[in-house]
Amino acid sequence: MNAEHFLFAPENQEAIRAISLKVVAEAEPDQSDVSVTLINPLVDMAARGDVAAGSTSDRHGGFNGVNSLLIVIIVPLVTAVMDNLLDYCLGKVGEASLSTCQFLLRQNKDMKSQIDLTIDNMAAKVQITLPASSSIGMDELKKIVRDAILDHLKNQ
Amino acid sequence: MSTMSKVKLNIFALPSQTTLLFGLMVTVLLGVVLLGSLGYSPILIWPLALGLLLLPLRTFLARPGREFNRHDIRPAGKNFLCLQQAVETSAQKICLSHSPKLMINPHDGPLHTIGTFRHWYVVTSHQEALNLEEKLADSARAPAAHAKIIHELYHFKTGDYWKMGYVGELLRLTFLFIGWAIAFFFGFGLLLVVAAPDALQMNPPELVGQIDGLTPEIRQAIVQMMPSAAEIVEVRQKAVGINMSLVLNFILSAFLPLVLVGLVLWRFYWPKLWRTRELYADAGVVRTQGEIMPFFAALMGLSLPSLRKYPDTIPSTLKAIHRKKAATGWLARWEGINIPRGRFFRMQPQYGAFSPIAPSQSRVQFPGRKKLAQIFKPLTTVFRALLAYHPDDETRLFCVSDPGQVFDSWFRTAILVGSLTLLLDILLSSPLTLIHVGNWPMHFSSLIVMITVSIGYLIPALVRGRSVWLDVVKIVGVVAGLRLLWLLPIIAILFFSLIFAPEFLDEMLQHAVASIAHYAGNSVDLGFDDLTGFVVKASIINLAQVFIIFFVLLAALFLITWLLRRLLTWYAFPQAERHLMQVASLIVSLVVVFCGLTILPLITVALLRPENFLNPFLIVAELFGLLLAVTGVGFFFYADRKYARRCPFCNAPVSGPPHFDKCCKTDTCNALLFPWLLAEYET
Repeated sequence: MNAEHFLFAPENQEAIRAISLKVVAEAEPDQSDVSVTLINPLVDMAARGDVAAGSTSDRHGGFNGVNSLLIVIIVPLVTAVMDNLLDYCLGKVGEASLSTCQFLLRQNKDMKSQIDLTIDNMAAKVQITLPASSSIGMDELKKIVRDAILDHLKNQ
Repeated sequence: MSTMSKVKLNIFALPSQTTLLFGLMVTVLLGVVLLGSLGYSPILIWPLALGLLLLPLRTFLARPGREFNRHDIRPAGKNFLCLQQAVETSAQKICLSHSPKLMINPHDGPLHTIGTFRHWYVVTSHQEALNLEEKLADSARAPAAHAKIIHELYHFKTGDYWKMGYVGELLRLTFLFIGWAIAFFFGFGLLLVVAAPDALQMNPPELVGQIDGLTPEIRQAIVQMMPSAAEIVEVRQKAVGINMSLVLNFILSAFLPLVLVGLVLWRFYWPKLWRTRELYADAGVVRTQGEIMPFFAALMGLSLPSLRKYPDTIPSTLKAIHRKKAATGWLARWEGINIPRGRFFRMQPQYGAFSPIAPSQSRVQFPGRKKLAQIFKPLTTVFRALLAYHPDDETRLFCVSDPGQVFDSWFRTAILVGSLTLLLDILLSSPLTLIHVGNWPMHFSSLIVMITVSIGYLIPALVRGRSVWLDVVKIVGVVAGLRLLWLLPIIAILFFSLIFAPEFLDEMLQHAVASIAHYAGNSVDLGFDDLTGFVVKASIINLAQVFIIFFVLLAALFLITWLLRRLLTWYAFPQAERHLMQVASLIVSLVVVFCGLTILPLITVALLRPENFLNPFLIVAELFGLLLAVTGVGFFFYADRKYARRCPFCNAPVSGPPHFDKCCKTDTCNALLFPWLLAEYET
């Protein structure tokens, strides 16, 4: 499955919105208001298979610095992680949906470690670089993403 | 909301903040080294000053070639023709004198500009060039790619590329040169300390006599070339008076302040210069494209089709940013970053109204490591923002939606000039320059404050229709306060030492005198006859100077404010778009020259050397300053009567304070009075 297919379902788009905003609220609460206004085009972009920019340098001019708004890098990460989780569910029980994930989470103790593994892989794959002004580290961000996904799946 | 209207302030019509910062950094570093090279010194300073003046220029000119060779960067040639075409058309669009050349970096690297005065280059990685070409080929996404290109080209348009290049090289070479100077002179001094006794006991004829194989004629010739016995005796007598430890003390205390101040400039002011130039380039993009959307898409990495699908995104984001900026505390406003009020004392982060996290979860807990990090987060955020080379996205969007935000607030201006003045005071207290105490160069820092506040704060604030009288008092208060903060502990240490350790104080002052006296080597009997009298007198004079300068600055800045306020109502001034800001600079210069030549020397003489009142040089300088001021005032009132408060189109009187979008209020006219101060684009 790829992100476009995954985000074809409106409930999945809603999940991405909720989890991403939850992550921002936890990691950079000051950015919450602005993130709400940006979430729709970001999810739309992810649904089109378009990845938001992100680079590695804060030393050179113009638009190539790292985005200081966390939501811009969180949405692609959460989308990739959720997409991978559904792939995992598909392999396990032959069905890819959020409710299957939820079911597996209740039944399968490996699901949490699977989420961790997926976050690690996806963070490396989408090449996330935190802005220099970020007050949290990469490990902390991964933990926040993990908790937000688990929380969303549990409370769905 | 007025800031969301289509009509914005054209920041390019006002004095450039980038140029101001560049001027301040160069003045602080180069000015002080040049000043230190004047007059007698036990070591030669002028070659260092000359080197620091010219070598940065040379390395700046050689930098593009050096960088291209290092990273194997090559001209795009016949590749990326679409991108080259876009660079060329964008250059024409923003009226650059010539088009920069596109260079391709085979390795990873961002799109950036580099150049000398004549040769300009836009450099990008191969991958980024491919991305840009792909976007340029898609009409839906091309404007965002153009936004990126125009942003880079604006660095040439504003000329900040060469200012950054020169200052960067100046800072690098300052560390290199001063570090080398300290190491060399210190090593040389130590060598002399170790070798001096043996060298002074040396007897040249005896030494020559010990060399075998020399003919008597050659031996005689060598002895004649060496110093005579009388000369050696004289050198020995001089050497007795030299205290080498004081020479070493001189070297360290002369150069160390330059290194420390260079570090402060490099760590705090250099990133600020970077951040400011980015805001100018952003303003150039939206002004050129006439809308904010392509810039927004390029900055946030969003695609234009997605943004167009949600047309409310940009207005909502800008409104959220404006709300947030309005709700932040003074600390945040200082550096334009966002910290909700009261966060200093909160154990848990404050969540927004939409937050999915229940309020019960945010209970107060014992402040562990994480909690302490939360408590100090505002401070660490401020510190990180001060060191960042790019303004954060919210600040960039805030500034393009309200360009007046590019200019510093009164508090940021006060901190900028206050800290720079303090740095100058520290630098001017080094052994190289303290010889000038009471002479003209020591007024340098006060004049810097006048120029910076006038050009960097007063003009932009007055153009935006602000009342600045109270701000002037606050800025000058902060400047004087910072000076006091520096001075009071020093005076306290002096008195503490005087009461509890007078011998230590005497020794410390001897070292200080030896350092600043420019005859470090020959210092004999530098003790103070009346230590108490010296400490009391030094404290009174230094404290008095803080308050006197406070009132001089206040008076000068009030005068400049009044003159500039009048000037900004010269609506009928011919070719105002080209000449009005030049007149503003002339007014500031005249007041500064008047203060520098007449007021400040007069006060200094009255305070330090009343016997010099009738010095002919002083009288001539004061009269010259006065003559300039009187002539300037005459011309000002003549022009004021002719051009002020009058519509250039219908000649009707115009009342009220100046504002950049002020219109003639008559029914028939309604013309914009300063259209050149406006930029129009959609937000």
